[in-house]
Amino acid sequence: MTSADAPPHPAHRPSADAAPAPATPGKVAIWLFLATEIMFFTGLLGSYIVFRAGSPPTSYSNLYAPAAQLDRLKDARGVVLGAVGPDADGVAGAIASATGKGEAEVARILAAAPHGVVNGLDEKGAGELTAALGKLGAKAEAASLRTSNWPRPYDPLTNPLSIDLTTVNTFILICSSATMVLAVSAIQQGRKGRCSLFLLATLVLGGTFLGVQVFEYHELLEGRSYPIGISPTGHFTPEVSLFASCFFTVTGFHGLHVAAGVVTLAIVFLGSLLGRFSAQDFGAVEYAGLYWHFVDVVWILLFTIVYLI
Amino acid sequence: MRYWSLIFALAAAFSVGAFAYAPFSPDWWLPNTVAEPGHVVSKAGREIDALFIIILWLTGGVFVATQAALVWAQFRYADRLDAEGKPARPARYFHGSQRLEVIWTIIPAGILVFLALYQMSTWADVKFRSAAPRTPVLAELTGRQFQWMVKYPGPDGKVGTADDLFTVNDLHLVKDETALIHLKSSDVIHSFFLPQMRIKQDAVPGMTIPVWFDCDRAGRYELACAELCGWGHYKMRGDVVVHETRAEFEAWQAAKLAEQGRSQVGEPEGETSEGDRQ
Amino acid sequence: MSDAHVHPRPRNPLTRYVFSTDHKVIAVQFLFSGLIFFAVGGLLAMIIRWQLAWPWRPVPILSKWLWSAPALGGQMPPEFYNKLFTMHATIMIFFVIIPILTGAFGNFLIPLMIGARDMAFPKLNMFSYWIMWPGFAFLLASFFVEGGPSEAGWTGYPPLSTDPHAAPGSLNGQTYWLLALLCAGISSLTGSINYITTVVMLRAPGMKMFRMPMTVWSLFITALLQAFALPVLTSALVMQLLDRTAGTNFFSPVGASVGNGPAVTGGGAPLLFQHLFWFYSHPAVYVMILPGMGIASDVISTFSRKPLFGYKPMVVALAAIAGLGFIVWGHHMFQSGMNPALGATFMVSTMMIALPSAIKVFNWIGTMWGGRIQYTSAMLNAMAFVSMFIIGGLSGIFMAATPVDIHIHDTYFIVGHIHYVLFGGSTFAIFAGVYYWFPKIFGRTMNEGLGKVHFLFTFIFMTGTFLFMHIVGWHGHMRRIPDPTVYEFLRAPGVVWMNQFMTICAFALGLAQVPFVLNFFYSLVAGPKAEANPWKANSLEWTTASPPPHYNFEDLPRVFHAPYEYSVPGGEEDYLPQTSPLPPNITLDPVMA
Ligand code: HEA
Ligand code: HEA
Ligand code: CUA
Ligand SMILES: [Cu+2]
Repeated sequence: MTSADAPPHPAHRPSADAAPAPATPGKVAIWLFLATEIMFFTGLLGSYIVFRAGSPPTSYSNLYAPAAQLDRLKDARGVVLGAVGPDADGVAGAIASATGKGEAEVARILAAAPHGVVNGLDEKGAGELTAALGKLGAKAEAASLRTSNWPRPYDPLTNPLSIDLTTVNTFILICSSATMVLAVSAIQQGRKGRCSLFLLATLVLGGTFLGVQVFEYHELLEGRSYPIGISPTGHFTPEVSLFASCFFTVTGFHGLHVAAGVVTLAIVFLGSLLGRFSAQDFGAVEYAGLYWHFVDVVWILLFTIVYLI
Repeated sequence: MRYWSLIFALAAAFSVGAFAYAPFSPDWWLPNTVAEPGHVVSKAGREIDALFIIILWLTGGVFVATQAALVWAQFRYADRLDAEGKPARPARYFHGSQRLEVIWTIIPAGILVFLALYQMSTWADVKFRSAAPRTPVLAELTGRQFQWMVKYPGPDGKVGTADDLFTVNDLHLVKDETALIHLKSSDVIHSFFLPQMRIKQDAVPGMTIPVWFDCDRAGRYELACAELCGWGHYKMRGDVVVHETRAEFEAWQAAKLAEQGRSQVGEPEGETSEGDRQ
Repeated sequence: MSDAHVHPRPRNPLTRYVFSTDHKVIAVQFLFSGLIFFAVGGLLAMIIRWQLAWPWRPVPILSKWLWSAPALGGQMPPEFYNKLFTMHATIMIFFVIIPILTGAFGNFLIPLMIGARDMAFPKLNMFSYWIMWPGFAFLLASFFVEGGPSEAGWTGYPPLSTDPHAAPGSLNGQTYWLLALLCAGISSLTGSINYITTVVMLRAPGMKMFRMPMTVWSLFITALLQAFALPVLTSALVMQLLDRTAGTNFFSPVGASVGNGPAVTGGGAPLLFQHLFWFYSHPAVYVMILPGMGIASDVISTFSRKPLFGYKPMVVALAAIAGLGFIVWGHHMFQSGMNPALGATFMVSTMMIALPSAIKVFNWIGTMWGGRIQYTSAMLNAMAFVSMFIIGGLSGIFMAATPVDIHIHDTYFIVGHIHYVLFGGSTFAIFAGVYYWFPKIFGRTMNEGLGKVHFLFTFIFMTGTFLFMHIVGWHGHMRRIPDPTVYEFLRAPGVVWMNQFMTICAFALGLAQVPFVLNFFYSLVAGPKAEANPWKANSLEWTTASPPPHYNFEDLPRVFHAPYEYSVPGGEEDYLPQTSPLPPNITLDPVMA
């Protein structure tokens, strides 16, 4: 390595080796930032996977609250209340007299229909209660204990998440990534109006995603009642199970990132309206885009891991 | 100027001296019984100590060699000025040596690979579940703030039945018989530490961890908690009594059981009277 | 970046000295807050030592206002002791060593040494400093909340840390502790992004990667280490925070209950926190040593007047330490209940990390070999770094050996290791760096005589303080206990004697910092004005004035070679700045230099 091989540079050019710098500091930084974000979500999602893999096979069941001691309940039976029917008071009375459950608890069971779960019965009791409820015009079915190490998708007795709703939401987010790509390519060609338009589209789609997520949270936290296998309180809140803790933490942090992305997009959109960007100078649009795609990719992973498997 | 190297030499010599003196004083050396400072009571302990001493020799050698080289360089190559105030000797100009780099990577690599392989079997013997003795469980030991709850199976040999024997901070076993313990915790993490037997294992809430060890001298030993568990961590101390014979152990157990039956206490209450310090 | 960058300093004192975006000002801010916290952390250590030497004896002066319960008769409550070492370690690691090494030296040196006018993102840089302040605030505030500051150790293992009833400090203090660490973490993360970008993008013409000084290399690799490891700690801290505040139960196992409290319904895994914590905190210990290694390399080469021995192998070794650092975290969990087979693999990777460390040690000695060693304060501290790091590193081998770790885990042997690498290593490197760059940072020279007094006593008493920790440690002395005499085997006269000896040395070590403090502040205001290049060193920061002007360089320098061309044969001077071409008769071995 001898001395003379350093090419003469104009004194104020910052970069050293490569002649035309392909990357800008901003781009390097945004990639590094995304790397740190990836590690952060790796921590959260990794923990989710570890918890899921490490959960004992009796952690969740169709008849008892998460993490209940099930060792001595192997032949316990229950009744799933599919529909209350015309005589709610009668149904409540029948359940109360068959199980000795208090008023509040019975009310929770009724509210959770079509997935209301009555537990604490033996085989005979379950049969009798089913028959009694049938007579009252309610829909009821006897059920035996089923356990799993983790809530299964599409199992309304252990898993409150609505895959259908979220699939739609995922689609919305993917669309927003596409509009973002279009916005960036528009400004690269110098088509400012088109860029603003697609930025607006991205913004709206992102906002919609957030809105749906807020709706989903509302349903889970207080909007609906869930059976005992999901939550002993009837509502799906972070403390009811490890699954709930994980779900709210992972999707919550993702939601925060989307919200931050929406704010960023709004600022970029305003800048675009004011004509700040051009075919030569579109760094901010590009960086916002990179971040937005990242948020999207994380969601796809998260959706797969938390909702689908 | 060059005499600064002596400070470094002294520090190194002091360190070597302290470590070399240590084996000759029972207070300074690995903990053993007072009566027999040269004897490690457990099989695992003997293996661990042997390994410890090998590493002490190896690292001691590396230490002396590197410090000697450092001090020599400091002494020999200190800058000195001649009568005119000019450096008496120029510094040599070289950027390194590939051959040396290779040599001093390979030699430590050899040493370390040797160490890594050499110790595997001891580690496996002490910790791998597959190496656990097939003997009945001596006791179930549960750490809780700030005491060790011991539950012996009692006459029927099963833990969790009505005839279990409970003690607090008092673990009994028989000389030369491998003791198998199921370690648990009911609140925070504790750590089961037998300094004289060189055994340590954290007790983690939600887990049951088997621990086994033996002891070839009857007597009384100390059980410590080695993992920070709260304000009383320092005094979460227990006794380990090693009985000379099985009969002696059984006699102790029978006496304790009788006592327990009389006072009708299933599980001893938490000792709130221990609330004050010391 | 264009010539537009060369404008005058801001006039407004607020933007000039306080909310400055100048990397040099930010560096000084990090340095000052770090040193102040160093004094706080050191003071806590003194109280720790007092209690260990003379358990339960009231601490002179301090006992009155540190704990007030009159019933104790001035005795330290045992939970207060736990708070002491928790806060001592937290402060030293997250608010002293890391901010000084990466925040102060990283900020000051990276742009100057690579020939840039400032960091890539000056405003982000300012943010990385000021986000420390909420951290400071949480840390200090935690001393005044109900239950007092955190007392779960700097490792904050749940459930001790998550269950509010498990310890007084877990009532509120732990939450503040988590928030303080999150702030410090954000500071480190934004800092790392800035450093990496600056190094990659803003090097002066001719400053190839393999012409950067070791200090820059080490800071660069440290920044990478932080960028990839820290977010995992962030996720762990967030989960612990949610466990404490939002009712999640990531780390609380089923059925555990503290005291007579209700049983936890969770289902979480305490060990998972340990994995996540050490996934960062093992790399974090290298965050605390790699910059020190860089500083030591530069100082040793300069004052040996000799090229660094094996420049490229040194860089590769740094990278190897960082890379291996990601796969050894389990060595902190050998006794934790983790699968022992996993422990065996962690043991092998841990052993391997000694190899690049060996390369470093031998190359430092090789650098001095045949040189013309000048015993400046900076050089003495750098040599002490080498000498003490060897001890700390070798004690690591004992712990890496899983069976031996069974006995010495959670004993003072570990505490001895910690302090040999962190005081003997990182802290000596910080001293070396302060003595070396003080003239450049402040434009004034420190007093060499006081510097040597400081070094002499620090070196002696640090050995006295920390050496015997290994011995009481292998004798079985547990760490984190305020009173060893509860145990019979620790009532041995030798152990009691060593504890008292260590304490006296620790006090002397504390006093030995007085000359440093005096020297520092005296030189700051009244030290002799420094030349641009007082040590006749090669790297770029010495080619500009002391202190450097705003935006660092009149004209961006042009670089011709690595910064280690000392005593080039035939040269007029014994140094050759990076801005001067190598004489035509010199060709360098491409593998080594
Ligand atoms: C700057 C900080 C720093 C550094 C650099 C290191 C470096 C090393 N550490 Fe250390 N460590 C800590 C800070 C650090 N550590 C802290 C803070 C803790 C405690 C945390 C807590 O629990 O509170 C800890 C704990 C710790 C443990 C856990 C112990 C326990 O809790 O039971 C282990 C176990 O393996 C370990 C090992 C090592 C090893 C192998 C190295 C290696 O990198 C060392 C390599 C260097 C050398 C080996 C010396 C030079 C080499 C030669 C001269 C060549 C020849 C050598 C041979 C052939 C052997 N460390
Ligand atoms: C960088 C890290 C660092 C540093 C520098 C120190 C420094 C010291 N430490 Fe610390 N220590 C740790 C990191 C560190 N420690 C860690 C990680 C633990 C484990 C904690 C745990 O278990 O959770 C620990 C634990 C620990 C213990 C064990 C406690 C226990 O387990 O019960 C002890 C006991 O003696 C101790 C003592 C000391 C002493 C005497 C010093 C002395 O070296 C201190 C001397 C310094 C001073 C007295 C300050 C002087 C002031 C200045 C120089 C300021 C200058 C200011 C200006 C110019 C403005 N430390
Ligand atoms: Cu129990 Cu420490
Ligand atoms: Cu480590």
